Amino acid sequence: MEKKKLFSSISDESFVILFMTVIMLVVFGIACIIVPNFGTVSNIFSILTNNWYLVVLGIGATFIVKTGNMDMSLGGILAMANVLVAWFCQGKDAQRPLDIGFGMNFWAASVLTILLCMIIGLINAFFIAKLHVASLIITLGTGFLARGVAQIIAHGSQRSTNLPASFANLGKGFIRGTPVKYSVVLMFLILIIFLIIEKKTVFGRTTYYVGANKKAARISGLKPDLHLAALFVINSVLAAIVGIMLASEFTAGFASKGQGYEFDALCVTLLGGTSVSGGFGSVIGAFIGTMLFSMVTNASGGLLLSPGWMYVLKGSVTFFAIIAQRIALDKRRSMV
Amino acid sequence: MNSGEGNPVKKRKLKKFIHDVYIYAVLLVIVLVFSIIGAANGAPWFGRGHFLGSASIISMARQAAPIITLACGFTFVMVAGYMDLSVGSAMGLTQVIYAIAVRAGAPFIAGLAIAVGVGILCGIVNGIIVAKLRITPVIATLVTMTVFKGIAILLVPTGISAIKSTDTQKMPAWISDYGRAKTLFGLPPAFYVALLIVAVIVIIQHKSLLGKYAQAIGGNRTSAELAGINTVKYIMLIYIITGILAAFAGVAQASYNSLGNPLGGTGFETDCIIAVLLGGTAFEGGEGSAFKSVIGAIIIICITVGMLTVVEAYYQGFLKGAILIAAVSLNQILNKEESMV
Repeated sequence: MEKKKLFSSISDESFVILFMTVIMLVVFGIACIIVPNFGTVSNIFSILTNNWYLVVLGIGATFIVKTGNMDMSLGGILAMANVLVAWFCQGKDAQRPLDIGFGMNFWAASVLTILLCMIIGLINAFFIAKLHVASLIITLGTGFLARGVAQIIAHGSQRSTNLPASFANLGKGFIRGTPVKYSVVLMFLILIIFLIIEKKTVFGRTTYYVGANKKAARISGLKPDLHLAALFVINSVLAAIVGIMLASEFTAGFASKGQGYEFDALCVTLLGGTSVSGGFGSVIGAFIGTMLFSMVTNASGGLLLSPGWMYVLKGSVTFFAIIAQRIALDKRRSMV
Repeated sequence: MNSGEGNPVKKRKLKKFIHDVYIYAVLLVIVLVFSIIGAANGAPWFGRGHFLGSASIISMARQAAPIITLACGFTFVMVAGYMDLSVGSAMGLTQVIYAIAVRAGAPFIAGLAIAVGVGILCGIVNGIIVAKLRITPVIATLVTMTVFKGIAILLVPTGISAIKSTDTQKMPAWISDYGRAKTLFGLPPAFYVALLIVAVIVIIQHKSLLGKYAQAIGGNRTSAELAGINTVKYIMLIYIITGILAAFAGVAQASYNSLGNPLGGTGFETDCIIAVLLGGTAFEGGEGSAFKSVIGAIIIICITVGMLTVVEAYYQGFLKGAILIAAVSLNQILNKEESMV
């Protein structure tokens, strides 16, 4: 629940998001000065669009983190969808076992893949909502399970042969006459839909209530467990959609796709000001967080830093963002 | 169950008995299953190629040293109701540093000491972030996991994947002795060191204040604080112990592979969680046994090694997930029954 303060009319949530936006702009300014070719139009465009999948995963993660839970199965579900959709679309006639698929239509395959990925979401939901198992632990397990399915189907590697040419239409396609990919449109579409859900529907407001005080939510007649279950299923669907889009973009299903994306999604959620203990956060924050995140990775790429630096930077930025948010919030509250 | 109907005391005793021994039963069943599969494949019992053959047992003991070492200490973390996702990365970092030290000419003891020093440092960092700054343990250790992994990768020169022998710098031949040499019963020194560590940890858990306080903190941190326990100090201590054990595990793995792999510890945090959950520690904390976590670790090793004889390696991930979910379910059933009594 938002806590309205006398100090100002904006909520803590908006305050933190504003705060992170300012930090993002400062980082952008610094990067423009020290990193060669950072401020060019094409680079800014790539920062905005290259990490579309992270925005989508971050949106799902924001809803989960707002309730005080987390979903570590994102990467696994993504890989499972990635491989499954490729498998369904592969032609029936081939010699090597890795080339043989079901020859399905891309859209039918996508729907089936999403349904299968929902099973993982349902397992999560069952354990978390019904048995009250810690979400971290069970989603670690289902993450392995889902990636395991991908590994078994792809025999530990990938399914990239014998795919119809139309398979790449969605992922590699651009809107006619623009450099905007379909996946970026999808990102903005999902962002807008979830923003409306979050701010304007009972479902979205319930998420905040469940995160702020589960007991109170139950007593006031809501069904927090059912709500949590729904969130985990939605999250698995989002991960599956990303997996399908990525499969189409790379015309391949990789068993190792999305390794560590669950952490990246958590990172952008936290960078966007969502509170880990639950109760507040916004999908707009996830978007801002992703932009900050892509600036850091893009800048370290521009400076030709080794992947080791990428990890160190990612970790440190998240850490300092959490600390900065807490200090800023404490300051604001003490000023009231 | 039926025998205990209408007699609550008997029923409670029975449940406690099941809770106490089920882990050994699980281990026994798994060993039996793989033994029978081995025998069915034509290997003579306890002979060449059999699951319980000496070669197989030695190979398992060599691979088991790191996870056994880590899992027993990890029990403290989970009993106290905390989490450490950075153990795998700490293991990678310490083994890289150990490998660099040894390649530069340091003797084994010096290399181990440096690695343990780094492990302590990792533990202190985790402890400060979690206990002092009070950042949620999962998030805090996810952050340190990334940072440790990054530093470990940075220490390895670009272009190669691990610290190993090069044209200019040779890795001494004795590096593999600790993890592979055949000493008593043909088992490597690392395995005996792991057993020693288990003994120390079990004693710490049962005889020292740390063991009791970890339980108290896991039960309820606020009331533990109100009772006068310096929770910050003890949480720091728990993370430092985990760091030290990560260093031992890292050295054992570096020695087993004769190289310092910055990603060598990947997935160990999950293995530790599985082992501890299998050992009956509730994830809410408050209760658990380090020794049973070790049995849990042995179960994981038995399954991973045993399954390799039956199916392809790419079934491992699926299997690990299934075991984790089974462990969670088992844990849930047993702990729920107990609370209902």
